[in-house]
Amino acid sequence: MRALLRKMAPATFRVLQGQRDADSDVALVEALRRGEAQAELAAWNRFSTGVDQTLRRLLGPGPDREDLLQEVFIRFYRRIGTLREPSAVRGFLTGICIHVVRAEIGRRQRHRWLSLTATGDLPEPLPSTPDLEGREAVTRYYRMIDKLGGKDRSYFVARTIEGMTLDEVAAAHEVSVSTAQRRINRATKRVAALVRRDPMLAQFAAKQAQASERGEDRT
Amino acid sequence: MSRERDVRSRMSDDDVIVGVMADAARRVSIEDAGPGPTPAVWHRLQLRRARVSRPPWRGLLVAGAGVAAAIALVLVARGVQRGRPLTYVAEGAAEQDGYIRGGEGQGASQVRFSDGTHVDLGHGARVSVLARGPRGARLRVEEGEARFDVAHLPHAAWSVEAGPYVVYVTGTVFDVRWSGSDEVIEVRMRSGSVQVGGPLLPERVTLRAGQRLRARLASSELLIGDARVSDGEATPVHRAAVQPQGEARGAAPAPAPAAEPQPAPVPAAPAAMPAAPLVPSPPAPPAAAPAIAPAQEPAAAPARPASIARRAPPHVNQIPWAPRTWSSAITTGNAARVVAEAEAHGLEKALVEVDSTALMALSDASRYSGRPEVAVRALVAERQRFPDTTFAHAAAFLLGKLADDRGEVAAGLAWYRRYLSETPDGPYAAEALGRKMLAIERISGRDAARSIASEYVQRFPNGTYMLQAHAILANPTP
Repeated sequence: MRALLRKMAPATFRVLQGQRDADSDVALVEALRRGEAQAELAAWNRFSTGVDQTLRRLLGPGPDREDLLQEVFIRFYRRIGTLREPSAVRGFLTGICIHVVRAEIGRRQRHRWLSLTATGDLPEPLPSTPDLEGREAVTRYYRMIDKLGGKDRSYFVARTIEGMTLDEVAAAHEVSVSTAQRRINRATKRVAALVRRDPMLAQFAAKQAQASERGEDRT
Repeated sequence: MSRERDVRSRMSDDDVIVGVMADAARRVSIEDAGPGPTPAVWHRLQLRRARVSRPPWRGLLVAGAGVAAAIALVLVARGVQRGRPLTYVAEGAAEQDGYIRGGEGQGASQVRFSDGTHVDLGHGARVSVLARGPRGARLRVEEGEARFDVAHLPHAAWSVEAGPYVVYVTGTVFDVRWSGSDEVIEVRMRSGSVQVGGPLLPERVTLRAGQRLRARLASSELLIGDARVSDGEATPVHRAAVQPQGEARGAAPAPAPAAEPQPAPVPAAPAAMPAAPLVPSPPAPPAAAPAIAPAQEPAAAPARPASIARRAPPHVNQIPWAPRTWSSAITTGNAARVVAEAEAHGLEKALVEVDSTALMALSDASRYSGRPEVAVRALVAERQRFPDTTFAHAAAFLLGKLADDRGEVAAGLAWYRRYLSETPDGPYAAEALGRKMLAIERISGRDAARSIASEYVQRFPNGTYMLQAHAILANPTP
């Protein structure tokens, strides 16, 4: 069962993770709203790892972005009073992550012309992981997604990589579900076309599809 | 062959392409995920929050930015002269590899800044000027001792870093000593006031003339005391909650006035769950580890040398009585002022007069200022005067943490149990359960802590104590 949960998209996994966390989250949000000094640290301890992972998924491979993690929590502490439903605090944090990443992508695009590299980051040292091909493909894929532009990229990544539901994507971007759906569809078509045109990514995606097919056969 | 054809046909499906690439992206993100952000990131976040406080009307500011930019262009042209960064001259000191090193001989070594600020370097001390601005500079004590005499000018902006600590200065005279090998910082105030931020200090601490802060990272020891008193005399005004067990217990506790809520003498606890002081005993929860009954009641207040208890807090006459402002005073880094205010008013009176929020603020302020004994009294008063409230529950956890931090593991454990029985899903549940697990491990061994570790892993899969819980489960008897 646990393996099955792990295979699911992250947002779905989070939903199934248990009601216990949600109840405890509510108490934590209430403590934050009361301004209890220790509540901020408790929130950090509870959510920072998850936020860090969400940022990784939204941004793609690269160096640690401690500044973005800090920015998410600065906004979180500042806006906690605006959270209507305390049990939705994790979604609230994901929404903040989306906005912070969107701003970061915009900043990168603005600064690209005076940067040495495409992202403005120094090249990442080669990792020790054996799946270099996969890593290279994913890095390339994120660069491709960056071409979508801030808004469409944000909708697309939230839905496909972060695994949020349409309702969650729409709520995080403060638009209607149909608008979110339209943008995601448009971005999906464009990204798929870009992947097909890129020989390396096309080959990688075909291999992955084949492997996934085999995996399904086995199950 | 038919399979390849099938894959080709599937590759014409946009969703399949996007799906497999998303799977790959998630795999890489899982590979890259480490153990999560370190505590240092939290500390840097706090520093950043302290530096940057954006106004809520940020949108208006953005709208006005255009106008401001136009005005700024004019002002910049006029202000170029005045806006130049300060300059400095090193006298009797050698500049080498970006450091300014104090001379080894008899002559004085000094760095003089163009605004009148000067830094006297101790023998062999190394200081670097990290950044200079028109109203101040960011300096760093790399090693050794230096005295800073900062010119008291409007909008002066000086800071001195020493190891992971930062001293924020406006206009004042103080000494900073940093030893990189021992990881010890010492700040001695001569005049004025500064704020110090860094590890062991959840909030910035304000130091005033005549006070001294000394922190030793290796032993988590923090001392805020009288600058005129040497270490050997060991009469600290404040001692942090992180003080190891036994160091502050030599003298008898100060006599408690009648109005002060004191823990009633409690008979030896019959079960694993001891009765807590000052509150009606709740039904004891099921004992997780029968062998760990604490020998005595959780201590309500650590012992404190009588001479210290009688010492008048600094600046008491200048501080008004305004407990309603205590919470905001803490957030602006004035924790020490809150404690001084309570003591000036009379701690015993304060403990029975102020409301629940102010009591919690006083306990926070006391902990941040290195006054755990005051924190304990405030927390006990909170539980006694406002039982069955959220704050009272939180007080149970904090009392456990304070006991735990001063090495009284069994007392800490009793409070954690009490907190978890009162609010199993409270805001400190993860922290309390994790600390409870470690306390049981320390008292009764890993085998006894296994059930708690298992519960922790199940309830808080992303919790701070996850590594310890897994270690206990993986290796029951080290």
